Amino acid sequence: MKRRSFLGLMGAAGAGLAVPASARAGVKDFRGFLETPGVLFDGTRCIGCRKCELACNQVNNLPEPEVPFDNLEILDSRRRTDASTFTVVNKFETANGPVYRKNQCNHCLEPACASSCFVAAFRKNTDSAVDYDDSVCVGCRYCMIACPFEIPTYEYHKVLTPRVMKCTLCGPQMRAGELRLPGCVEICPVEAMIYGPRNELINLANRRFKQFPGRYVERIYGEHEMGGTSWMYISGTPFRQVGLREDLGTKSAPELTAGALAAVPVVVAVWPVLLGGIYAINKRKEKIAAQEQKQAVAAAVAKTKEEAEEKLATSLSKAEEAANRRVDNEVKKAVKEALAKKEEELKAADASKPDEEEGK
Amino acid sequence: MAYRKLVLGLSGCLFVLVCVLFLQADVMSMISSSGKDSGRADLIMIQAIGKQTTKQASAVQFFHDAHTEALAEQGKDCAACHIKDDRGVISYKYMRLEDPSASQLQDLYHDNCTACHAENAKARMANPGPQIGECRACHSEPRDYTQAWVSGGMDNMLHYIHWDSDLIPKDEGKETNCGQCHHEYDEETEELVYVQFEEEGCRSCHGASPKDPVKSNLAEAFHGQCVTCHLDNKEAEAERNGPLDCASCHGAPQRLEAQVRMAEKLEEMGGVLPRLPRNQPDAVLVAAKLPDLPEDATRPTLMYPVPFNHELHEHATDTCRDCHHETLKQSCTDCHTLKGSEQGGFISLERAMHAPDSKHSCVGCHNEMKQDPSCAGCHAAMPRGTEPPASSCAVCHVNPNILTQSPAERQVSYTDFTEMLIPAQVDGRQPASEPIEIPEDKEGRMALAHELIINLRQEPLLIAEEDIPDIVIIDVLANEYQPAELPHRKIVMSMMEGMQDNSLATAFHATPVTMCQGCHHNSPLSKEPPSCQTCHDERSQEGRLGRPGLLAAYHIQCMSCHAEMGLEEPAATDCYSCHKQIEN
Ligand code: SF4
Ligand code: SF4
Repeated sequence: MKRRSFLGLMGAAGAGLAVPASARAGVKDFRGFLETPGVLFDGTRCIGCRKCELACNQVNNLPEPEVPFDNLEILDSRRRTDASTFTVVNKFETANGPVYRKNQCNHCLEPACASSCFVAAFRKNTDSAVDYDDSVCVGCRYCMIACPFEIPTYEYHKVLTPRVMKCTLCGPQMRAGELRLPGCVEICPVEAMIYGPRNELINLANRRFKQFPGRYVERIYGEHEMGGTSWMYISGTPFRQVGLREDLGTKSAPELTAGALAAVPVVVAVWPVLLGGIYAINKRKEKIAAQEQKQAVAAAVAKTKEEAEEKLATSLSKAEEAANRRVDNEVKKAVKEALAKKEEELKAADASKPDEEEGK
Repeated sequence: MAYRKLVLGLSGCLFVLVCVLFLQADVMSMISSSGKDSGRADLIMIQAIGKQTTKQASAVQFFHDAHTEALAEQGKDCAACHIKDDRGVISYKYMRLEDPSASQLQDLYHDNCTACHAENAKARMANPGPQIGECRACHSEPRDYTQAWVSGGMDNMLHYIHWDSDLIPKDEGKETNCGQCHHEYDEETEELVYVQFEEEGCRSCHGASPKDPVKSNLAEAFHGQCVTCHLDNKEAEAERNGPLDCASCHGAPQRLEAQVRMAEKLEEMGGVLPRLPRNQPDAVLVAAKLPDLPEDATRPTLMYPVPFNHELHEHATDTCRDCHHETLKQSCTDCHTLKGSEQGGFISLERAMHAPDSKHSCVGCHNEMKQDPSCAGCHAAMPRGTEPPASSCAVCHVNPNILTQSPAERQVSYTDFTEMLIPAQVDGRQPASEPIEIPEDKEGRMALAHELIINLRQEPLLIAEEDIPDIVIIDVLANEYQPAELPHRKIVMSMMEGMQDNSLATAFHATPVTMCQGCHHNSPLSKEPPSCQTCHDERSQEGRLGRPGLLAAYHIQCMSCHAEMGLEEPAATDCYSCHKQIEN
């Protein structure tokens, strides 16, 4: 479905009713694939080396970043993911020194992004990855508003085929057999991340709590948050202090929105998102959009400026070249004239003293 | 290293202090008596209505230190508000020894407070305090302040400052002054008497509420004793008199400062305090008391006794109370029996000695000491189960028969620790023959314990230096970096140096290769432990969930050790400091 037709439909009738049958799969009640793989991030291990960011960039063929991955000064400012950065590591200062936390899509068991998507562009895959299908996406960006972790981002700079971008859990690459583990997990020099069956990761985390009393906040973030996530965190610092929201509750997005409207099958998860807070959502959407647009504009301006500067530089160098050439020519001409003059003088002299010449 | 625990504790406090100073400077003022913030050590809520049936006015927030200061400016002291009993002990209560009825109490406060304030007004003081009629000035709501005080404990250093002091008179005919504070109740004469070498901590009699014949609760006992003496000293214009305000003992920052001062003093004294003059034993033989058993009963499993170096442990603790929590007159095994008794809170002897997280138990305290940076490099990385490792039993539980063996016979194999435990019972039912004779009398036990202790190893063990591999090349990242050169021998030797004076490490690193286990964990004790690759391979994480792959195993081990030992260089993210860059 293309954006224009979608917007048309929106205006004409209730959007939910217009969603074709095939799209409904996206909003069905996920019960979660509990035995499926997940990733456990151990905040007491991460050393903030940004290798995972590097791996993610390479594995997903993302554009080269402005700040190279071996520059760790960037950790001093708080960053979030964007259309060309699926994961970021942030540094949090604590009384016991800095701690680091990696941020990316948490691959919710029952994803809010999927339940807010009219066209089922998002799908929870059996290998835990929450997949995104750009061929059906209409660009409404409700997923960005719905995600409680502020993960999906939008390619504002692309005019024709903008996509929603987020971490894929390396699902495509792993399904294709190109990767054995998600890129970030594979590269991490201290195994701050472990990939494995979700239930075993939970056991492993609990084992660590028991073996190292006092080291951890003895809770697994993501075990229950928003109905559970495939990507989970354990930490030695309270989760809030490493930028993880603790106000999310344990109900998943579809569960939260099921309620009274469950009788209207198609709109189970859609209506509340639309009706429940259209004002707030729009406000936030506008804010995000404005922010990101601003960034995009800034980037564009910067690009134009850069291009202009480049042009100027080339024309300047060209002008210089021309000027140099002119000077060269002038010099050559002068030399030539001087030589000619000299020659004439010599000739004149020759004519007056022919004997001398012969005498040499 | 005697006093390591105290030093560790104090450095922790120092760290907190530094944090407080640098990060949160306003926390300091929060509790100080003149601060504007909410927590104060000297805030007392005067709540005579607590005894009244109907609410009449809100409780009064009374700032004790503000009054002490103001009185001092007028040349007055505690006596302006507190009276002394017939023994000259100052009362903890305002203007009274005992509590009268609620209405009398109300009058007492109203009459005396306002009288003083009125006098101040007459003397034209700048801030005379609320006058009669200004009810709300005292009975005010809402309250801006909260009570924030820490308990002002008497640790070994503070104790030493007192018993060593010339300002405190000596006991009659003695060289010590302990009797000036410590007393006992003589039931026959119904008097408080001092019995030398039987001194107890205040808490052993004075509890939260007094129980006959004890008259005062703990707070009253402490304040009566300490404040009276400090006040007397002040009146006698002694060179030092001890604090008379609340914050010096009960304010958190003030206590931190005091602890820093004391740590400095201890350092000046060479790090070791003189022993308390109480005739306490140098060595004790700790052995379970066998319950009375019927003739044909199975003897419960027993361990060999523990020769306990009392003197050494005195220096390593903050107060006697750390181990002797209730009283000094009973042995541990009186309350903590094999099965546990009501008196010992049903904590069995085994738990009392081995509970890993208790501050009172041996294992718990030793675990705490492992947080010292020179120990934590290895120990923080070791999983801490609920039980100490079986291999460590024989370190403490010693078969006294070794005294009859020649040193060669006493050689312990690296792997078999069980030989030093009491032999198992023959068929699990019949009592095994008692393998050793433990003396019954105190002196005999002390002598045996002493003999076993002097037999202990004094120097940490290590295999010959040339047997320690010098440089170990790690080249698992050969395609990205040049191989890393691990200065293996240098690391081992510097760690050995770090524990040279540590008797705890000397005792518990029971074999020459125990220390190697810090890195070469989970493998049998050996001079040539298997390589890391044996267990840490490069299979996918799913295949070895929870066990790091080779690359992570190296990195985690090296980096976490450096972090725990407080080595800031090289930074964990500085790859090239360990792995030289490949030259192109
Ligand atoms: S974290 Fe956000 S984007 Fe990722 S699955 Fe959950 S809701 Fe969707
Ligand atoms: S690669 Fe591992 S250690 Fe490095 S920043 Fe990422 S998660 Fe942290």
